[in-house]
Amino acid sequence: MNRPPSITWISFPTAVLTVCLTLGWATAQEEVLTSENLTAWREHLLPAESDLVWQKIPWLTTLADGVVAANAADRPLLLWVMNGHPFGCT
Amino acid sequence: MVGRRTIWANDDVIELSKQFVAATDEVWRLQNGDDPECKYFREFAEQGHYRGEGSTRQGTYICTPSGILLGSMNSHNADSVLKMMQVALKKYELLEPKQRLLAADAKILPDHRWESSYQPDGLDLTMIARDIPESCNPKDSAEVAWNQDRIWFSKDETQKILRGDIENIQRGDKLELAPVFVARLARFSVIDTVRGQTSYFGEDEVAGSTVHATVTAIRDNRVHLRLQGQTVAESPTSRGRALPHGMHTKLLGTAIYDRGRGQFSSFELVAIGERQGRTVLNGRHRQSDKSDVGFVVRLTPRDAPLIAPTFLFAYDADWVQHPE
Repeated sequence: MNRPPSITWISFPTAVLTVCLTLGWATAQEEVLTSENLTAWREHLLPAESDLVWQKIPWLTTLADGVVAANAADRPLLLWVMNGHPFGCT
Repeated sequence: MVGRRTIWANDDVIELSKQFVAATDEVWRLQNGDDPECKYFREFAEQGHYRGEGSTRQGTYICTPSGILLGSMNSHNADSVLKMMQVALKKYELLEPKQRLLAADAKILPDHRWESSYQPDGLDLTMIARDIPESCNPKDSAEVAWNQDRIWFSKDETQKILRGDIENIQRGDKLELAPVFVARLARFSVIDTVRGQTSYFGEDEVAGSTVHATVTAIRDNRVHLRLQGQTVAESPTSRGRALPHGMHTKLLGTAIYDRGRGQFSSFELVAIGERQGRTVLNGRHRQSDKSDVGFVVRLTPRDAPLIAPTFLFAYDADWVQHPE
């Protein structure tokens, strides 16, 4: 019986190769960026939901804004400071 | 940037943070500036975990609005930070309102912030950078380390990014993108920041970088574009030290330019390439000399916080407001 091709009929190494080729990973040094794989590359590179969990905290993005808000709420200020803004390049 | 995933993604830390007002900021300016916001920071930071030692004041601080330090550390251990937060809360509750709140005449507002140079009618792009693994392993959906930055253009610069007779262009026409766009991309943005801040490239170190646009469609005033190009950046030094480093990428993307508004309504560029060498601060000292890196440069979401580009101070632009 002839079955239509589906992922269940692709061996694991073949599936891996398919993913690699989709993203242009024929070899590490030969990434091919094409109109066809542009979306795949973009999705691979953009932050995943798990990368952005830290943004669940409602950070204010300047010290002064934090002090003013903490004063109004009568709460302590939790301040995270880095070389380079944590919401930018740190 | 490790703190993004080790501390601030911890469920217990996130939950306890609701008892605080959380703020984050760039520390170099705070520890070196002269305005009231910077002085306010140093009043408590100089009592904190570094207390006069070293050249950085990075870390987590908890203080009262009046500026009394309740706890501080620079740690990637969520349990340690959690414990500090719990202790700080108890200390806060023991203080009288007069002690913990700002005095009526307190001065904390800044005289200058780089965010003041933001151009609301210009182009605000966000760059995301991530390492690309040497071998393709679908179980590793993406490398853990990633970073981000902004790129800003004024309204005037934005309207000159596409070089040519934009009012009379036709489908299939090819336009070069302005040198200011290409240089800002190659010098300050498509650079090796994946694992930490890096040095930016000089104007003469990005020769060979080009980006062009091909018109794929024109609908009313909206010009649809395919973007293509490359960045070539090489420098023999980083912060005065002999540390040869470089970044070579190929670029591909799409954009839509609205001729009526003089703005991009869509913009997305993907860059794939190779980094070489390291810089003083970019965290590559334990890594191979070469590896692959990918970037996405796209419009900053409207609801994103206002954050200035790291190297805004080095832009060759008269709209950038520098401190007096």
